[in-house]
Amino acid sequence: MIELIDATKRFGGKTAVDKVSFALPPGRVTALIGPNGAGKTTTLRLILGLDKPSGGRVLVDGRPYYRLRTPLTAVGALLDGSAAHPGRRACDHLRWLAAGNGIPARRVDEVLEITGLSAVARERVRGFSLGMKQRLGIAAALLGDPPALLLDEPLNGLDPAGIRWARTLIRDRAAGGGTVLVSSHLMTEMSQIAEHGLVIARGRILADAPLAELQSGHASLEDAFFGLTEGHAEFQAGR
Amino acid sequence: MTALLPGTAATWSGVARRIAQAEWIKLRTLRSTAAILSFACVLTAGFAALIANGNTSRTGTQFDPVNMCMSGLIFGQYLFAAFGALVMTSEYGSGTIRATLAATPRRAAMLIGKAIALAAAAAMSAVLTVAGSVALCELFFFHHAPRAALTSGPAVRALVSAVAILVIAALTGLALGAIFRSTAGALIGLAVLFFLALPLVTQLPTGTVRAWSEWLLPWISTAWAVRTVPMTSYAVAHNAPGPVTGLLAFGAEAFVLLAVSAVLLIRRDA
Repeated sequence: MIELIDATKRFGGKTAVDKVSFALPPGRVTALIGPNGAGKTTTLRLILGLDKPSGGRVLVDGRPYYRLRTPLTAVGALLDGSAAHPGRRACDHLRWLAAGNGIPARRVDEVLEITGLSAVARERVRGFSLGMKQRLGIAAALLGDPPALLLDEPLNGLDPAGIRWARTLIRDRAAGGGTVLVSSHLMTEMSQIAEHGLVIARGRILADAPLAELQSGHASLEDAFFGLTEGHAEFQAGR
Repeated sequence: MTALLPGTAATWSGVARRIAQAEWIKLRTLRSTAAILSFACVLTAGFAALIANGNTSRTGTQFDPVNMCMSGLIFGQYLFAAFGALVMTSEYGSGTIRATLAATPRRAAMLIGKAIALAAAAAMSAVLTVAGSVALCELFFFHHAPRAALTSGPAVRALVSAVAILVIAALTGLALGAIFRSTAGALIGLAVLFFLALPLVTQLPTGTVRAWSEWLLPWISTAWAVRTVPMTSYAVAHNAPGPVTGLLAFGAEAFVLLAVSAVLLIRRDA
């Protein structure tokens, strides 16, 4: 269970995340939806302890992330691509991650298989396409077979087959009792993946409700989203 | 749920061992590690060989073969330090630091694990570098000159110190890499620390600032540490610390810098 209680993050004078509170229950795919600069990535970074909250609390299984001894077995995360060094082989990137968290080496082969990277496992990440890097990032997130997954824009760079594969994977994890948070600005895609929506803009949660409820009275999730975020977007096209 | 390897979550020492292991895998799986360490080894030994070759007065009381064999150390220490810095800054450059800290959220523990793995890698190549320097000088250039008495106490001490200096230099680099988080910043910082600080101070007008700097610099500037290593018959320069004191000062400096970098690492967002 992942829980944010009045979590706030300020960078200098700018408030990126403003008293955000939500809980992610298991068995559900939650979409974190918001315009660019809304605070989606910062929220995920707060959960992972990469950014320290300026206020409030962020808890994973009732404690801060840094108290987890083998965090990869509790939370798997994909943040902005694979985070793999370009000069390293894909399998080696997963090997060091596994070693640090006591994950047996055979699990590396398993996640390479799951993500369809077995054939390129011994190639250096430098030569990977955006989609392959994305798959490697997902492989790293699945490495510890964690009950919770945090995926920041997981569909970026994936081809149609990849998107279909990722969609099934995400839904299967939740169906198997996993907690899944997916951030995205792709509304249509989110309405196919998630059951629950967290709408964020300017660092504030504007809605925390089932997608069906958010969508009611609107033609699509996209319309519902624009209705909610009217005037909140940080970077709106000229008007 | 994947079953973890035994002992994984049991103790913090178990965790520490795994972190060092992970960092060791990271070092081994990048080609740049071998490349930069081989380069450091070749340049250090090669420079020593050139110095030894060019030295015509191979006799007299001032002649110190061990000192000469170690003359490449001035480059070696900088390259080892650059290696240490790159180990840290390449993670910031590639975004790997996010994966590192997500896997090891205890940042001080991560830095210690990195330092252990780095020191191990640096120690291996430092032994090769020092041995290579001595071998090259002895084999090619001292065949008709007095050989260094490598078994004498001071000579052994000098060679062991040389290995220690290269390892400490690598750790100094790691600290500066973590402090600056950028390759350019760290390399400039190291150049100032290793080479530029001393000559700059001598340009200062006489006064309190210069007096303080002249007192302090021999202790923090690693150029002095290098000079104090061989020291078999090498004249003790001005107010340079003695060989053992110099080495201890260098080690203490690396320790303080690592402590500073640990505090910054913990306090700053990744």
